[in-house]
Amino acid sequence: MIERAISLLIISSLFFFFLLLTYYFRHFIYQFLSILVLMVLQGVLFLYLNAEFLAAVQIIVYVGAILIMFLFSLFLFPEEELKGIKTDVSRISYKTFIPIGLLVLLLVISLYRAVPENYSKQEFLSDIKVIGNFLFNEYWFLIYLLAFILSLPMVALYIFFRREDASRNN
Amino acid sequence: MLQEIINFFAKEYIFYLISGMLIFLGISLFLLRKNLLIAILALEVAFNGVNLAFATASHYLGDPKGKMVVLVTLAIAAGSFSIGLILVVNYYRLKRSLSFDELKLLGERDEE
Repeated sequence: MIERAISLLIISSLFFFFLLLTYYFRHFIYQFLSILVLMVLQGVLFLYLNAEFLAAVQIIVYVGAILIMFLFSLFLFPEEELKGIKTDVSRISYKTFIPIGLLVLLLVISLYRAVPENYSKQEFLSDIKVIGNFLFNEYWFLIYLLAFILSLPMVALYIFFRREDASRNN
Repeated sequence: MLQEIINFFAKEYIFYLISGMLIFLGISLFLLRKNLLIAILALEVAFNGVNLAFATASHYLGDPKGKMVVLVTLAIAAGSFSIGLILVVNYYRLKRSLSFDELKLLGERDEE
C-alpha cells in the first residue's frame, strides 16, 4: 500500500505542476504541450484503477493520434495568432458561475447519495475480458451507433471542402 | 501524520481530486482565454476529467459499466473534436481571426 501511496503522491504533484504551467504559459504551443503531459499522466492513472485497456486507448489513440493531429493542425495557423494569449477576466460576470456551482453541488449530492454504505470491492483481473464481454453482448447496438457517429467527421470534411473543389474545376 | 497522508493517497479521494482539477482547468480555460482553438481543447480537457471520475467510481464501486461509459465518451469526444477543428479552420479562412469577439457569422450581415 505504501508504494501505491508514494507513486500516487508523485504523480499527483506532477499533475499539479503541469496544471500550473498551463496557466503560466502565454504561448499556445507550450500550453498545449503541458496539457499533453496531463493527458499522459491521466493514462498512467488509469493503470492504478485496473483499467489497462483504457490506459492503452488513452495513450495510443487519444494522445498519440488525436492530440498530435491537433498539434499538426496548429501549424496551419500563423504564429501571431498563437502567442501572447492573455486572460480576459473583465467580461465574465458572476452569473456565469451560478450554473457551474449548481452543477457541482448536484454532482456532490448525487455522489454522496449514490455510494452505498457497504459495498463489496470487486477485483477484475482481466480488464479487456470484462470490457469485451460487455461490448459484444450487452452494448452491441451502442457500437454500431458509435461507428455511425465516427463517420460524421468524414461527412463534415466532404461538405466543408466540396465547394472549393467545385469552384476550382470551373 | 505520515500514516494519514499514506491513507489519503491509498484511497480514491486523490482520483476524484485530480478529476475535479481537470474539469476546473477545462472550464476556466474556456471562460478566461478568448480563443477558439483553446476553447475546443478546454472542452476536451473537461471531458477527460469526467472520464477519470467515471473510471474511479467504476473501480471503487465494483461495476465495469463505468469503464464502458469512458470508452464511449472517448469515441464521441474524438468525433466532436475533429468537427470542431474543421469549423475553426474554416472560420479562420473566412475571418482571419480566432477571437470570440467576431463570432457573428450567422448573427449579422457584413456591411458592404
